[in-house]
Amino acid sequence: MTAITTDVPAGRWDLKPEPTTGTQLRALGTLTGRRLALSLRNPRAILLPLATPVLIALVIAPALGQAVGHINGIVYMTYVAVGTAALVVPLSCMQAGLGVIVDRKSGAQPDLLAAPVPRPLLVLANMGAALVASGLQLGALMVFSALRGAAFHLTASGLAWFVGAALGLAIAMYGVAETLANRIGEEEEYVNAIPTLGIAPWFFAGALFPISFMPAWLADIAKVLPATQAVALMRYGLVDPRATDLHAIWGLSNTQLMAGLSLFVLIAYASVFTLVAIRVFTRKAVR
Amino acid sequence: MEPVIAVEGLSKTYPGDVEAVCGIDFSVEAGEVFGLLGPNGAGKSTTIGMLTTAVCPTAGTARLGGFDVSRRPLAARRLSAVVTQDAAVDRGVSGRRNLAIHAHLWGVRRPEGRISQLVEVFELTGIADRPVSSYSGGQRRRLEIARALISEPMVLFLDEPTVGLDTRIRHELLELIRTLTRGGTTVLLTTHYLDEAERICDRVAIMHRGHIADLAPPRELLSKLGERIVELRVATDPAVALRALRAASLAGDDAFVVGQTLTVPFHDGQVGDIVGALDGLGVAAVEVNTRPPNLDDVYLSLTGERMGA
Repeated sequence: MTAITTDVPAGRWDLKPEPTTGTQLRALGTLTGRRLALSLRNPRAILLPLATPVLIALVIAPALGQAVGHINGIVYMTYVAVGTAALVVPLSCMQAGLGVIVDRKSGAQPDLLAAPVPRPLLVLANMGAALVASGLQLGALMVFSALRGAAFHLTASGLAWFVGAALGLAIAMYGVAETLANRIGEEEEYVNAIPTLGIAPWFFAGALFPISFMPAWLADIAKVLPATQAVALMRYGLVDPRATDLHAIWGLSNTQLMAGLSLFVLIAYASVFTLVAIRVFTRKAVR
Repeated sequence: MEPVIAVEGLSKTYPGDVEAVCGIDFSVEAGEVFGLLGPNGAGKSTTIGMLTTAVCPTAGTARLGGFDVSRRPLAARRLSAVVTQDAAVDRGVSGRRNLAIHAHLWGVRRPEGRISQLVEVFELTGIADRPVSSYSGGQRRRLEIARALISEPMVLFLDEPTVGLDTRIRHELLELIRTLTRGGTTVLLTTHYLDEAERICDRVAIMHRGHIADLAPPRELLSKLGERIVELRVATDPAVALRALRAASLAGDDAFVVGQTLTVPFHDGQVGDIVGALDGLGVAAVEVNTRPPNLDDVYLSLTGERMGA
C-alpha cells in the first residue's frame, strides 16, 4: 500500500441538502439491488430454491392428482398446484429472513445504518428482494404445473386476484420473517422456527383439501390465517370461478365481495406485519 | 465559527442502569485528528455510536457540521462516514460492488471515477472484482476505509481502525489519516494503542468509565508527568512504599502502583535522589528503571487502571 502516502482525493463539501423523495427512491433501489445481489449472486443461488416448486409441479402434484382425481370439480393436480403457492411463498420469505441475521452479525449493516437514508428503507429493500425471490419460485411452480397439465383459466381479473393474493401473503410473511430475524440472535434458532411459521399454516390453509373437511373449530382457526385467505383468493383467480373456497370462508354469495374481503384481510395482515417489522428493526438497530 | 463536532453533556445509560457515557463535553475543529483513548468499556464506541446516530443519547446534545444528530440525523449522516470496529462489508459481492453501494447511498454523483481512484490508492486494483469473502483481514480493512472516503466526508469516524492489521499496514494507515486532514477532513478515532494516539492525534480525550478524565494534545498530557518516569519494583507492600515516598515529598499525587511496581513521575531533581532515599525510607527496591513517560502512564496516573485492559 505504498501509494497510500500519495494524495488521497480530498474532501470538498458544502452542506448537502436533505434527501428528497427521488433520492430516497434511488436509495431503495440500491438497497434492493444489493440484497438481490447477495441472495441471487450466482446460478446455483437462483436455481436451488426453484428445485422445490419444480419438484412439486412435476412430480408430487401429478401423483396426488392421480390418487385423488377431482375435488370441488377441479382436477386435483391443478387444485394442489395453486394450493402449493401457500407453501412456496411463505417458505421463500422466511428463508429470506436469514439474510437479516447475516447482515447484522457479519454483513454491512453497520455501514448501512450510518447511511443518510431513512432506516425503514433497509426493511423495505429486503422485502422487495424477498418478493422477487418468492415471485421467481411461484412463477416456476405455475409454469411447470401448466407444462405438466394443470388447467388454469387465465383472465386479466383472475390474474389480478392471484397476484394480489400472492403479494399480500408474501409481504405479510416477510414482515413476520424480518420481525423474527430481529428478535432472534442466532441463525440456528431462526432456522428452527421456519417450519412452524412457514410450513405449518399450509396444512390448515385449504391447500391440500377444503377447510370444511376439518373439524369446525379448526376450520374457524384456518379462516383467520393469511395463507387460507391467499389460497382461496388465488384459486378463485386461476381455477375456480365459483369461488368455493371463498364461500367456505365468508359464506356469502357475491364472489367479488368475498374476493375483495379476502384481499382486504391480506392487505391488513401485510400492513400490520410490515409496520411491526420496521418498528422492531429500528428499535434493534438503534440502541 | 462552529466546530465540526460539538458535544455537550452527552450521556448514554443502557437498560439496567449501565452508564456507558456520563455527560461528556468536547469539540473538534475542522481538519483535526481527535482521539478517544481508553480501555474496553470506557465509553468510546458508545460515543461514536451516538455521533453516528446508531446509539440514542439519554441526555445532552451532539452536533455534526452544525446539525443536531438527534433532530437532523439524516443531515448529520450525510456529512460523515464511519469505519466500525468489526468488519462491516458484504462478503458475498465484490469489493467494487461494496464501494458502489456506499457511493449510491451517499448520493455520490458519477461514482465510477471516484471508485477507480480509491481502488488504486488503496492498492485494491487486483482484487476489487473478487468477492470480499476471499480478502485477507488487511485487504478488507483497506476496502472499508476506501468505502468510507467515497463520499468525501466532512467527518470520518474510525472505531479502532488498526485492530487486526499487521504493523506495516497499520503505519501506512496512520499516514493516510494524516494525509486526509490536509484536505480538511476531520477525523475522530478511538483506539487503545497509545503510540497511535501520540503519533497522529492533534488532541486526545482520555475516557474512563464514561467520563473524560483529561483532554489535551498528547505532548501536553505527557508534559504533565515531567521528563522522566522512575519505575521501582519493590519487594515490600507497594502501597506502603508509595505512602513513604509521598511523605518524603519524593512522589506526588500522579505516582501510581501497578502490581509490585511503583511508577513515579519525576518533575525535578535527580533520579539518584529517590534511589538514595529508598533505604532510609525502608523501601526495598528489587529493580529501578527510568524512561520517558507515555500515554499509558498518563492514563494510569489519572485512573489507576491499565489502558489495554
